[in-house]
Amino acid sequence: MTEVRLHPLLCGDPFDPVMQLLAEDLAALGTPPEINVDPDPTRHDRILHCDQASFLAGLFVSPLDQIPVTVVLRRPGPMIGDDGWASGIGVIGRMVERLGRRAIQPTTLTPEAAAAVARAGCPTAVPLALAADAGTDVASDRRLWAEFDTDNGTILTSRGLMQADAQNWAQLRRRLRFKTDSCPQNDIWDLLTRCNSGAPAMQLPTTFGAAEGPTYVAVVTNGVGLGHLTRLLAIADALRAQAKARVVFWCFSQGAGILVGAGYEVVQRMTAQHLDCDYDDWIDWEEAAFSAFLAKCRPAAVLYDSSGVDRFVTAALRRPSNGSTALVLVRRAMWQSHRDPAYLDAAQHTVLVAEPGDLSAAADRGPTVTASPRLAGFARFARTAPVVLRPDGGSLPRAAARRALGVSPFQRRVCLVSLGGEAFGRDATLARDISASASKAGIELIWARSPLARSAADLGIDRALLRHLFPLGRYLMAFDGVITACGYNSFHEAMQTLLPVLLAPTANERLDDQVARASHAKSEGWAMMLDPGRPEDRAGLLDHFMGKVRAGQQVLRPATAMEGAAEMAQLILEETFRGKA
Amino acid sequence: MNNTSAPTLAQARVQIAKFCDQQLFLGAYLFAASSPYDAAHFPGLWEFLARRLREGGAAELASRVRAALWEAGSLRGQTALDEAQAACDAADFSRAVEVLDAVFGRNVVDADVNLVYGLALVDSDPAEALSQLGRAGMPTLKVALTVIDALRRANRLSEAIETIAEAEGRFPGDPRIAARRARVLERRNDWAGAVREWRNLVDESSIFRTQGLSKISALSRRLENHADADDALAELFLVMNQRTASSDLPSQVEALLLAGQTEAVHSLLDRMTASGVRTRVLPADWALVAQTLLDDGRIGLAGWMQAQGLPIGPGVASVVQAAPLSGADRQRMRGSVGAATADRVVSPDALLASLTSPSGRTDDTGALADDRILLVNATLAAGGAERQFVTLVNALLQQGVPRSRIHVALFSVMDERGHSHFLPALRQTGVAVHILPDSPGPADRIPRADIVAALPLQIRSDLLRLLPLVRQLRPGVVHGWQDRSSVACGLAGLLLDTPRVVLCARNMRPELRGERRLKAMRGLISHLCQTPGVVLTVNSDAGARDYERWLGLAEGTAKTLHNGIDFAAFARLSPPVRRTAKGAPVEVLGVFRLAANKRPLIWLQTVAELRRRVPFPIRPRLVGSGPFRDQVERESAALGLGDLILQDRLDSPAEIYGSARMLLLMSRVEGTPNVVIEAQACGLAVAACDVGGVNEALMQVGPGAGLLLPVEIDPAEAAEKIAAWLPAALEAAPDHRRRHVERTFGTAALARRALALYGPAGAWFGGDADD
Repeated sequence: MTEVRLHPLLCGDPFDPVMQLLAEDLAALGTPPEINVDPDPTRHDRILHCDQASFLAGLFVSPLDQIPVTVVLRRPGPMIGDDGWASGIGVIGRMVERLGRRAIQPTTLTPEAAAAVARAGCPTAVPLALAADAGTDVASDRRLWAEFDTDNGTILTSRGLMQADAQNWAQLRRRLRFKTDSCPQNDIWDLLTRCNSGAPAMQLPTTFGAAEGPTYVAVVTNGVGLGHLTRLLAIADALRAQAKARVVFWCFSQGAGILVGAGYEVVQRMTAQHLDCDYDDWIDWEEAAFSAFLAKCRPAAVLYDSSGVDRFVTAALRRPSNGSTALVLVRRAMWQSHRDPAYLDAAQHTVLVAEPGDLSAAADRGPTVTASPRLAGFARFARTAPVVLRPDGGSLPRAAARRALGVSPFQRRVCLVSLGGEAFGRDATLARDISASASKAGIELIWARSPLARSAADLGIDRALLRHLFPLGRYLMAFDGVITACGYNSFHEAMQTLLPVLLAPTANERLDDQVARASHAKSEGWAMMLDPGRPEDRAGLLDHFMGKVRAGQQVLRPATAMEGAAEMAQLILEETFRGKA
Repeated sequence: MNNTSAPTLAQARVQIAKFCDQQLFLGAYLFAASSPYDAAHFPGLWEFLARRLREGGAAELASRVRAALWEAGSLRGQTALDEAQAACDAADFSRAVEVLDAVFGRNVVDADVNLVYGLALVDSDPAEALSQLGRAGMPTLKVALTVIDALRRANRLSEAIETIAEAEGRFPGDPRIAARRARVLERRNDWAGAVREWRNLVDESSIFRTQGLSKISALSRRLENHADADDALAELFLVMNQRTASSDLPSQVEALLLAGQTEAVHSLLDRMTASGVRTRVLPADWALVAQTLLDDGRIGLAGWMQAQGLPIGPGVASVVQAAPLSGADRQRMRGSVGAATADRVVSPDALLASLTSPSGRTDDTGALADDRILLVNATLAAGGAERQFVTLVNALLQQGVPRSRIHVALFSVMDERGHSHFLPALRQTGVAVHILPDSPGPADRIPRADIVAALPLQIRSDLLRLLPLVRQLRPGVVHGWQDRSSVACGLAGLLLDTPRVVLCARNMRPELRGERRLKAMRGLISHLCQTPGVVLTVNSDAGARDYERWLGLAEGTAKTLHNGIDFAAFARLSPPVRRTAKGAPVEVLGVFRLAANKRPLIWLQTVAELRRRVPFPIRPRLVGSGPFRDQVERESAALGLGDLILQDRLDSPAEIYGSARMLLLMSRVEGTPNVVIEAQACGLAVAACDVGGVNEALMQVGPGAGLLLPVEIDPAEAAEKIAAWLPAALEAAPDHRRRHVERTFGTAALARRALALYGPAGAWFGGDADD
């Protein structure tokens, strides 16, 4: 006969910090609670209400004589209304008097709160004690000091300011120690005091399921190109290599097949745009699905590559069941200078903002360089070397690469044209001009086709010359020159070679500042550039570039180790896995 | 049935009987419906069918048959009575009256018909219901209960009590009779008696347990007995916990609202609206919950339920749909958010933006009677505010305002509830007095019905009772007296474009008085005060500044309209110097409601301490009634004040002040206390705590100056100060006090200031420039 294991039932507002803390406390005891479901004596050995409102509402759902009930009586504060507070406590006090503490255990967060509720009419409440409350080893407490501003609902740490509801409080407890001297004696004071003494939070998540290392969930947003996907894939590879991590992709990109091909688990998702539905509704659905997914696989962190963080992610992470999961933001720089700096505030939701280095960083005039986030929270900020995806098995030698691409071994000069995810939509004349110039110079072109690109038939490109080349680095040895867009990945992959490179940046508002990146490379002599603002120069530049390719010229570039992915993996592991608090 | 030959009428009747005998009721109905004998020409057959269906328990089919007879114009006799009874059972009383009027007429003498008439009319026309029931006699418990209900609704409460006693003699032990007595006692303001009655019912009968406990809690709260109120709620929740039926959701929500536990309401709704749980609640119960929330001003929650796809009922749905809510508020009501978010959209606050828009003004073009003044108050109970209301009417008349120009509207003057204390005095003035109807009139021609329908029940009800009168009189000024009337007047004035609206607060902000409902009106009152043509008055400078702070208004927005007293009536009581024979006791008087804010126990303790500190005897006397009466009696005995004279209600100044030498007031919250003014006009020495407008009312300099005590003061400390001040104060000539009162609180000043506030209408009668 299978033994039925009973769990506590935790009830209350799922975004209540106390609920978030208690969920983790109970999980640390080995009895992860069920949350806000119907009470069932065959499944639940007790009900724990996180506040008096939940308890009073629960009275109408479950008879008190079936499952013992514990209620945390809270003092008034921003989360607990003042109106009717004393009456509510008085009523509960009378109920305890009538039924006794075996049926209803009134508790509080602190002894001070117990004294306050005693004055209001419930003298039997005692501070809530869970077995996990072993007490923090103060000597080894390396958490950051933080101050809670009750007027504005913000938290100030030495690293920055954050909104109090930016993260799950189980994460805050793990990383912050609160000053309580200037805090009024109310529910917030009780919460902060409880956080300061919480022991289970000091342990970071370990492994999950069959994985030997930690689990991570990487969220791939639906960018214009494959930049987000590629960087996350590079980092996932590094995590797998360094810590045998299990990385699962929550993927909105149409490039999901690349991830599957790389041997990763992928949950393919649809955006509101794909579904043609209301954005707010989509956020709610996605949050529910993502939250349930996180609760199931309990990752050490969610890895998110973007400039901001979607609401569904932050909301799901605030669910009580997901308190052990941190958020890491991989945020490349080189934003366009007019981009709203408010995006930087996404840092407050994270434990780590990791910026992949950029060879053209000196030309960066975007907000990541010129502005400071208003809400940086306690996130650690780190910049690594550029992140480039290392092809599985390394780059192919020239002959093998040419074979793989179906290029004739007798073809002397071959040039790669890789204009990015938007390439075939943006400028038909560019494709024609490149073809004409190459033809004049007797150079064969191979056109890299992005998995996200639209059909190129109407652009006059011979389909026979189109190739899916992912990752690009695997095939670069096959070529004698590269014409490429100037997105982060294409640029840095091209800069690893000694080939002549012609950069064709796009001025798309949604993308990074490709023109600045390309201009810098041009000024450093690393590459030529097709200025989108000077189409009249194009033919001459193309002919010039094709001449260099035909001549088999080589270009010297800075010898930068592009090991950013490994650095990132190291940082992520430090912050989220048995690492530093 | 044979296709070739139709059954005869007799055969049809036999066939119907057979179907019914076999309980094939639908078959019987279909047989009749497909026979050649329609209801118009063969009503007997259909009446037979209706009777057999009713007897067989097929109520729905029986109802269809009666509907067919009604449509055919053939409904009559017992079948018509059955139809009316069925309508009453479904609480569709207007349908019942329609049927009875059409078939029997109101002059009928038939006990059965009269009873159903009584049932049907008890809400809408209690007088006619009583007339009908009088003809029915009192043969059954049902009749007796209906008679009692009719008497109660007709506000004939003494008769109701007598009828209850009579009914108890005939039907002893029936809890329904006792429940009615409890309700009548409550209506007569005998809250302590009602609590006792409900407690007996709760202990003895299960059917009134939840209702009784709710009542005990609410009444105990009104009696300021919070411990008993909490205890009753605890008991109520535990009773409900043992049921935990989803069908109880409406009463669960009501109980939590009663307890002021709105966060628990959110939690409960979040839980019950979850998928998989929501279907446990019947549609009718969801509709009841939505109506309760709407009536409580929680339109956001009602809309949120609708967005969740819950059946909130067509009435509530149309109100939510039509309400002029902002896009942001509609967004807060979407189904995917929590109940707490939706509950941030509350009425009236969410409607205020529309109240200021040009379209918020009525297009009614009735002629304005700009020189007509409408004064509105809730009641004329025996209170200081009500006395001031009548004083204002007299003052305006003395100032020369023609009698014909002053109209007074009152929400209730029910004698048995103590609402008519000053009615004779008001009638004596000869102004037109309008008693507003108990229930709102027809909803047609209501300006901005979309806003009105979305208001909380209390405001909506008051407004709908007042609107027709304002529309009929078209006054140039509407002057609301006290908070409740002010809100109704402000809204009516705004909706009907009344040129001048005067709102009149008579105390400190509602929070200080524990007025939960009024607290929720903060946004509305503030909004009204910022509307052109609307002015807020308070009867003290301190009160005016306090209201401004509460409402977020600029200083000076609220105008001070000091109380006025008929100085001559009080001055007569004051001899040049009141000397007391050596050794004669000094009477220390308290005149206040025996309620928490007045701190009657501290008053007693102070007097007890004073006795120990002065060389002359002290005789304590208290005039007032209220929830602390029992505690006052106990405390006075405990303090050795067995000689305390405790008097419920006295009318004449001579009775109240004639024998006293000193007035003592220890209130925690006050507006401008009339008693301080009146006592000084009588020449009495006055000591009072520095709250509200006491500072302004009390003469504080010169011989005979009063004693201003700190509000947070220990009785012994207060007595010490009084003992040091009292001998000289008793010896001082009263003239200074009288002059102080005459100068500041004379009725002429009151009238002039009021007329100034009335704008052009007031100016016609000599109102001061705006002061």
